[in-house]
Amino acid sequence: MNTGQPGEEQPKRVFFNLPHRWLPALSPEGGRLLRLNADDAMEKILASFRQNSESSPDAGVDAALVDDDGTISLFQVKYHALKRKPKARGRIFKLVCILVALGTTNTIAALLHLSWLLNPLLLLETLATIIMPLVTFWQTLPLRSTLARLSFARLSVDSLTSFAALLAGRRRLALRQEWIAHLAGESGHDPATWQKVKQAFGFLVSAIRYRCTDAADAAWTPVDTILRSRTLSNLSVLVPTTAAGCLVLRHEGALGVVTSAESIVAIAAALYGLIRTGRWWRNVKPPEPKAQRAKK
Amino acid sequence: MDVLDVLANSPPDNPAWGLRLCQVTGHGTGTIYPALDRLLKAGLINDYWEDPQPADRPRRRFYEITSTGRERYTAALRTRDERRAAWLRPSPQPGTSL
Repeated sequence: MNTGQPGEEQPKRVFFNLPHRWLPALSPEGGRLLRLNADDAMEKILASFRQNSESSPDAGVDAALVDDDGTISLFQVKYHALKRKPKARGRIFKLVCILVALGTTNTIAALLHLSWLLNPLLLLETLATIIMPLVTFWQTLPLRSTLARLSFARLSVDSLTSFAALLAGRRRLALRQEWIAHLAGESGHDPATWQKVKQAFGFLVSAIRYRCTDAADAAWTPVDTILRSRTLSNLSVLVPTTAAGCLVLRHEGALGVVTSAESIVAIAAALYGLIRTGRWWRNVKPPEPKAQRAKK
Repeated sequence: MDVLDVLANSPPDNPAWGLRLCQVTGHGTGTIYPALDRLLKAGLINDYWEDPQPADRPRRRFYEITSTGRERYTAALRTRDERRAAWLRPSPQPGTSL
């Protein structure tokens, strides 16, 4: 690889999308690069390659820094998506070898009438016959790379965030975008980890709490309406008190009303106290009485 | 209070957002976002979206404390300090005159 020093003129920079998890391998300090397209991050990558003067295929990252007349004209970072291919081929070859060896041993055992060896060999052969097509299928199909990319953590994070946003309701549509930005992290390209899954669970808890708050608000609405209105507040004191008075009058007569007067007054006082406490608790103020408004 | 603490001390050129609040306060997302919602409803904080939208990452929602929020925060801080001072004040030893 050609790793020339930068010249006088401004180098032409080409940016590529690179999974964030591969970036620490490029950073000379071993720290995290916060933004891929930031100039300082670019400088760090360039400095790293100038220092190491070679690519790092072991880390799954390759790089080409082309020096054109003493000027950095191209910088390229690419990820080897197919780096596991030779390993896959080796695995399939090993399995075929095992299958052939088992078959040969089985035939020899049958010819030599070694019954104690035949049964376990048959079992092993059956197992290998089942495993081999599965491994071949997994290693060769493009589906494998797709599934590998869509890790369980990624799926969980996405589905949990979407579900939480759905649960939070139509009034809070912006939350989905906010949460996606949260999961993207400071860099904006954070990979999906179990830590992120935990955060996504937190979003779910948030959504449930939002809904509980909404339900509580909805439940308080009729109470607030009564507390805010003077007429309704007066009615909610007067109606039960009058009803209690009428009930006593019907069953025990006028004398009963006189004897139970303190109980009837107690009902009225309790309801009035409840209204006042409710207004204080909910921080609700009724409109001023008409007489006072007229004076003002 | 922790959230207001962070928001009150955030510089205007580097405003606080969800992830930073979680990192600084040490609370989880299940605590921070409902708290922010309550503070927004109470009018103690404001929110706004990052503008312009960055090309390489999702847009962030920033939060800032309002003047009402700052007043309430200062008052709450004063009350807390007074309460803490009263609690930490050494109690008179038995036998000493007041």
